[in-house]
Amino acid sequence: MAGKSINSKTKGKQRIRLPGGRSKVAVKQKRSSRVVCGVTGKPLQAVPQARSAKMQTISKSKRRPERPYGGVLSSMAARKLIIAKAREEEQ
Amino acid sequence: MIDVGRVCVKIAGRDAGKKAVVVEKIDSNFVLIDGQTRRRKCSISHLEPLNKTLDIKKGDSHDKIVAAFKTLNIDVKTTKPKTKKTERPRKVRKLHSKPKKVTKPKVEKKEVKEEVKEEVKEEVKKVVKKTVKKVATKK
Repeated sequence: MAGKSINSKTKGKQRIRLPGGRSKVAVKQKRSSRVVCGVTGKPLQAVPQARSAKMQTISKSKRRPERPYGGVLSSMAARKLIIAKAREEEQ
Repeated sequence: MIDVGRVCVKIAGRDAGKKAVVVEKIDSNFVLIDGQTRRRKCSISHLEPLNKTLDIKKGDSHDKIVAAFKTLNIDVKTTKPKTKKTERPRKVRKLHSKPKKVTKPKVEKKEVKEEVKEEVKEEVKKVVKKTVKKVATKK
């Protein structure tokens, strides 16, 4: 019987082929998806690809860029938004 | 467009979205800015100029710029100057003084033993001599 830690659904499973030809299920830690920009949909730079438990241990300044909309929008998307706001304010 | 006194919005970096005024033009690409942002050198490409201008002179101090911003009803937060942290008094750990061990001089003991051995030897010799004499007299 598989151990409780292996049977957990928090673990990712992958079928691998052994050198002898047999196939086996390898238990691996799940990987979180990359954080993407809310406007462009491109993966964000300087945001680590870590599980939420690991993210709690990382300092806030290492989790996302220090600029406004850091960790939500890419730098170019944020720049465009700020410019649009500034121009709107003027009118 | 970007001259001394021009109000701009910073669009890059941690001061993005904050308003600043051009204090000094360093060269064709860089200017010195001050206001809601930190007083710092900045690339022109990181600034979005606005229609507003402030009546300031080249290289004016931060206080004058804050006063000029008040005419446009823009608040500039002034941060307190950093004070040196005073070291808090730390408790000095008391060290328990261990009682000193009284060491007996080992060398003296050996000497005593040797002396005792020599005395015993001499006594034994005397006894042996006496017994030899007694045996001789009996014969």
